[in-house]
Amino acid sequence: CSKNFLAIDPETTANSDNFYKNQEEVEQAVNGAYNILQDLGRLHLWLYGEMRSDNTTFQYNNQDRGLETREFIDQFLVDASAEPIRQFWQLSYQGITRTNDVLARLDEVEMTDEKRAQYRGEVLFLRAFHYFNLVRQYGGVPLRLAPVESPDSALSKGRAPVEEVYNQIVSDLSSAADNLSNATISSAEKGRVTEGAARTLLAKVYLTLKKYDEAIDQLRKVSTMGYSLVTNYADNFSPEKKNGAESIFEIQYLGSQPSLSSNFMYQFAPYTSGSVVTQDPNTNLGGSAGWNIPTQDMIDAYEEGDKRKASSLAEGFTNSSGTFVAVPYVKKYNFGFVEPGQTDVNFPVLRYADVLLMLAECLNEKGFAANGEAFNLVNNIRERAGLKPLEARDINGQDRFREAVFQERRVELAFENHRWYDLLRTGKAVEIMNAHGAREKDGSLTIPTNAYQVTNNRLLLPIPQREINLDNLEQNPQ
Amino acid sequence: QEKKQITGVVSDASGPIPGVSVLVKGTREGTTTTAQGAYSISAAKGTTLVFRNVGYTTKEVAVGDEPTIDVLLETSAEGLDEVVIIGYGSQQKKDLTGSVGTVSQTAIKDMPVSGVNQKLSGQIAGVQVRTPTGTPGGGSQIKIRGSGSIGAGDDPLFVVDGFPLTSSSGRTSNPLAIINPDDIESISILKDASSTAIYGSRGSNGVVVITTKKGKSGQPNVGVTMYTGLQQVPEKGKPTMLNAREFAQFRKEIIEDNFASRGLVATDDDIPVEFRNPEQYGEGTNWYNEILRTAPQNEVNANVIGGGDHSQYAFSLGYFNQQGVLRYTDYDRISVRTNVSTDLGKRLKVGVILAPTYSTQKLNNFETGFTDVLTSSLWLSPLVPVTDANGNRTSYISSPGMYAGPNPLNKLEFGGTNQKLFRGLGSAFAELNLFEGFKAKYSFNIDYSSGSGFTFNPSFVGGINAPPESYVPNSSTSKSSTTNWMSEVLLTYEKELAPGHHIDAIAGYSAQKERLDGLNLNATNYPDDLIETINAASLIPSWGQDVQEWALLSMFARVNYSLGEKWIFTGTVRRDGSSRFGANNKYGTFPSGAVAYHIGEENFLKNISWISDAKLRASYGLSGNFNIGNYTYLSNISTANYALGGQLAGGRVATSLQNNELTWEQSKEWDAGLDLGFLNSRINVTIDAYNRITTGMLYDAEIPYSSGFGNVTINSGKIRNRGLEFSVNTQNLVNAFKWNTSFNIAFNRNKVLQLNDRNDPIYTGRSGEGNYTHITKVGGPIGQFFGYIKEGIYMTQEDFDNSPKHVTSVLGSVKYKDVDGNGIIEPVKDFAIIGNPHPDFTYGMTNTFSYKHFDLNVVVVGSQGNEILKQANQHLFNIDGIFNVDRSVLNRWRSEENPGDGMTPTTNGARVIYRDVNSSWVEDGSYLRIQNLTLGYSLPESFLKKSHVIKSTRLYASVQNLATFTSYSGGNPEVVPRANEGGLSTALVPGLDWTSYPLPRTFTFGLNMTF
Repeated sequence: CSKNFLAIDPETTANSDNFYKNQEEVEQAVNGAYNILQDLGRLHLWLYGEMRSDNTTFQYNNQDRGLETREFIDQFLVDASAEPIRQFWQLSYQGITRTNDVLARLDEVEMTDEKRAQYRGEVLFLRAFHYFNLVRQYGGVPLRLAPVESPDSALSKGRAPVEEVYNQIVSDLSSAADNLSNATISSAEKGRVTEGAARTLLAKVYLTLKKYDEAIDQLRKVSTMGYSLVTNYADNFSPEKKNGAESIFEIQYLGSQPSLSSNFMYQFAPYTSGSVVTQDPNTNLGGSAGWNIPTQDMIDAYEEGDKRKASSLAEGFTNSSGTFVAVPYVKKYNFGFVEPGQTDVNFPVLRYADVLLMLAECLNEKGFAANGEAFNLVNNIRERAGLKPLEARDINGQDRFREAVFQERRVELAFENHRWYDLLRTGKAVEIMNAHGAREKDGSLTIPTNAYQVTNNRLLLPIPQREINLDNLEQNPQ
Repeated sequence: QEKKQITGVVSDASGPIPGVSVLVKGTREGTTTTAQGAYSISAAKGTTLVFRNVGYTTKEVAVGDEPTIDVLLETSAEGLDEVVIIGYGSQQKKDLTGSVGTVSQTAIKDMPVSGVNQKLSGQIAGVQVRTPTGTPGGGSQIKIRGSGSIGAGDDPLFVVDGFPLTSSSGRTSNPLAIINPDDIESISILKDASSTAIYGSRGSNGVVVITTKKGKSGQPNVGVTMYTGLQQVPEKGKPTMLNAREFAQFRKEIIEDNFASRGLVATDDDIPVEFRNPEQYGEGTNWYNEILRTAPQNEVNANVIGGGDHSQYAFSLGYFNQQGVLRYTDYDRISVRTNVSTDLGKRLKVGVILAPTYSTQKLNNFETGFTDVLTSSLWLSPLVPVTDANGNRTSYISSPGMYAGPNPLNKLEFGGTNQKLFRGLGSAFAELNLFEGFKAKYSFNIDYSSGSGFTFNPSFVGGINAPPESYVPNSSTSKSSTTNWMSEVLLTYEKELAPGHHIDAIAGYSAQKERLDGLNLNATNYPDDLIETINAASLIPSWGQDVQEWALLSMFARVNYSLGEKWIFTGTVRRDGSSRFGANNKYGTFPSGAVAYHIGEENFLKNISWISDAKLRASYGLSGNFNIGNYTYLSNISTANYALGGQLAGGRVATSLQNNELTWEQSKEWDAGLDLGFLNSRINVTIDAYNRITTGMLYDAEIPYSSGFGNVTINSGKIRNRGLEFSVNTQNLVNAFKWNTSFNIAFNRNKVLQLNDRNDPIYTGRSGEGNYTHITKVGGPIGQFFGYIKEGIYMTQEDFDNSPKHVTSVLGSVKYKDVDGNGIIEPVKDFAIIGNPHPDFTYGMTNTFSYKHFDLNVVVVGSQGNEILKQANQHLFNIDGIFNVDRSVLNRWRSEENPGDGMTPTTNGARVIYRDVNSSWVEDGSYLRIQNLTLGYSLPESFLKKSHVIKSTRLYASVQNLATFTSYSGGNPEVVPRANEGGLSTALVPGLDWTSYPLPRTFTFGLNMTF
């Protein structure tokens, strides 16, 4: 009797003693691993992937200074204690832990080999996704490949070398792709990781590592998987056309559920725009709006007649008293709301246009071919945008073509969190960001005078001070 | 010598007393008085009869020739003969072997407070009571003998009529408000391990044992007490904010200074029109003062106590009402208590206690953060008037470039939270007298509570940065009920084994279980403000349910053995099994032992006439602390859904780390004490020294995020609390003019001896910028303040160029010390210990004067040497211009020619690090407070006799919180961090002050009558 009297399990949550017992519960754990993408997508992916770059900045909010550390990320003034730096690290490792939890228990639970392979592939992709973000933002990071089972093993073995992290990413993605090769994802489950997603991300990793042959190999495989460019560029972002033919992987949101909905339209609207941008009079735009504001340089990057410009950004808004206010904003994710403050928009991570551009870039790196396959790949995209094709008489060499792809990526993939990483892997970040800083500071009354002092060291985020203290990690030189 | 029969009646001022034990001194021969107070006993001439009863001074009368001895007993305030309630029983004070403090009911009777915990302030050495908030119906924090815990809470266990309650501390609502203080008969505080070990895994923070009034045989005694009073917020300690003119000037200068720093000159066009001509404004609006008021407070209690030969009863009814000094807040309580017992035959006695309490509390968003309605009243724009030209309240308070919010008066009046709580304590017992000296008692106790809270935010009030025009009406609802029961068997045995060898023993077995069911719902998209109930809402964006259960199985025993007049030995043991602990550590055993030596009975002291009593005590024991949450040891799996195919996809993830080793924390404590009485007990002195070592402390250890989790509850480390307690009670004047003093002072030293394997410091707290505010490290006390050391500001360009800087520093901005000496100012790396929240000593003094029909009672409490971290400075000193701020900003650096006071920086930059935790937030928190002053007048008996009904009448006037002497700039130096400050246990973030509901000064006028 006494044993039962004292054996009380929580009623409102499961616990690890009674969970992971069947396939259904394993699937729930896999879904739980995806869940963290939503939080990462809502803020961190664009904060570090886009706003830190020359594409966007923020609208200075003189009424609400509470998110100043977020501004410091844009301005290269951030220090190791800043809240967003810590959160990004925390969420990424939460995501990694969830994948490790699945991997550690997968073999003990009864299910078909196909399902087991599929789950393994999905979480390996997710683990690689997090490590790829971490290694590009922080450099070498602790490698956690198994769940922590007790407080004794809470400390890590320290920061793994960058190369080791990349080896793990490549291994995870290769394995993910193999495991997913037989998976069939029903339309009711669209949004799960597929073989195509794993190979695309693997190609991106190879490209980052400048392993062009390996990248080409993966990209070629992806190009046979049935993906295609959709006719209308804006359809890629419309909640009506989620997970379309061009989509390879996107973060799924559900507008009807408060905790699963997205809110990009609100965050990216000028905070002074009231409801004229969002058309939602019941959601107040305070300090959580006015972010990821396109720079003039970004606006100018679109060629005359580029159809993508109008569906990607607006150069200002007409306020309720009829005055045009020239605060630009990202429009790509404005498709209305489901409930006040809740939108149904997904966020693209990998799409086929990226595959084409990556392939073009790799081919060019292997050797310039006037009007060759690489030209065709880029021109497919330019054609959809209503632009004239690139031709070898203008783009007359490898360097020129490299520049053209770089420019094409900027506008095609604008505000999709690729820019910062493109700056990094092409080695142009320091030059471009200092030039961007000079433009931004010119005439500004709000940007601190010591902002945008971009050096090679400052391309990496500082390791969160909390982790330095608790885990004895070495800080990045600043 | 020949024995003869002695008879008589024992009575007190109000009549015969039943149940008084009458003993022949030095023997076990004795009897008790009947319902009429009569007794009959055989005794020889020359022996002494001892008359003893709870609540009365014991009296000894020598047997002479007279066959009749009538005795008048005096109700005892305190003294050696006082019967002291301890865990599972009672003892005469002189027989105590442990350290037990008792509270004099006279000293605390006229205090206008909602809960008994607030009455304990300053009464007992080593018991620190802090009331951090003036919230109507709000609570206090009690800490006994320092901080022995860092993660499990250090509130003592409260035991009411033998029933351990589950919670004893609360801030905005006081869990002890369920006991009407007027119903309390006695309060004992068990401090050392030998006294608390009988409560095993719950005893290590001390135990407060409360008994309520019970029935007595005799004529019904009717008592009525009532008072009415007014509460006011003292002027001292109110925040000093900029007035409208100064604020407009400040805002104008921010822009001018920014332009100047960039080599430009601001023109009128660059300055918002509101700030262009500061001279047009005067004082403007002081929002803080606007929301304060003088508020009434009333209480009425009535009780009847009486009984016959076989049955006794006590009934009471109480009503308490406290309006808040913040407008539109109040607290209201009705309490009923019945206590009935009856004999069923010669051997069996049964009884029932029922004590339901119903209270309502109207609160608002207080003490939650800088956007709460109270804190927002500090920073809202002083430029905006309270009412517009038509006399209507301004609905939305906003000035350009400022945080804006609703008119706090609207928020208070229409956006308040209504809380209702029913809580009923009930118990029934049967006691069987098996044979001489041996009793068996079974009791069943139940504590049921049902509470609800409802907040409706109508459309016209608005929110922070959410103007009423766009505000959607919304509501939040919470409901919870808790059932806690305990079933207990207690055996007691008492026997004189041989002359001079007396033993009394208890043994018991109990099972206790608690279950909480909670539900909360947030509803929004109401079409209008007409219907507030949830059915009118069109969206439920969030909801939740909580179920919390725990169970405890216990066996316990205690033996007291006295050898002659000189020696008393006590041994106790308890074995607890708890559902809260990990699979590998469910059970624990808690033994203790104590000895007392009446050295005063030795001849060499007996002959010293001015020493009336001397006793040495020593004890050692083990007790535990089980407050760690119910399922902490488990790895909990919570819901984390995702969307797939445009549908919800159910997901689950582990949200905490498993720890099968998790168990209670353990305190080993020794205590040595000395009780001395001088001059016929006119002076009584008690001195205690103790040393308490807590090991295996439960704490939420922060762990690297790369583990997937932020923290895990572990048992680790070692803390020592050691100290000295000294208390003295004196009867200074005993004639017509009486003057009694009781004074106590306690010195506690807290030291962390060990933490985890590597002795990593524990960093806790969260500043507004997410940095730590406290550090706990080996060698120091728990929770020292941690932050930048402010050296001043960069006064000159040369100073700026040659000093270490933060990446955002500018000329004139704040200059912190470069602690790590690397030439760069960085948060945390350049943090250092900047203050100590622990007092050097705490003290209390109560003086009671009486002359004829007048009495005067003064209670003084104080604390010395502790520091306070005023976290409110985060917004009070904010230089962003988005808040109204403290007047110190007027003396800020503006240029090298106009450098201000050298401590207040320019508004031009480094504002984030300036609003981070730094040494300028640390202030001395020492204080001395006149807690209560009461002047009473009892109507003369001669005057009352004519009424034939009224037995006594006393009128009094009292002032609670009369004056506080302190250099602290905040309103109340008794600070307690808000629950879960930074998501961590409050024990690790001591001394943190935010903006609290102001503590009022209360003037009352009262009347106590008996019939």
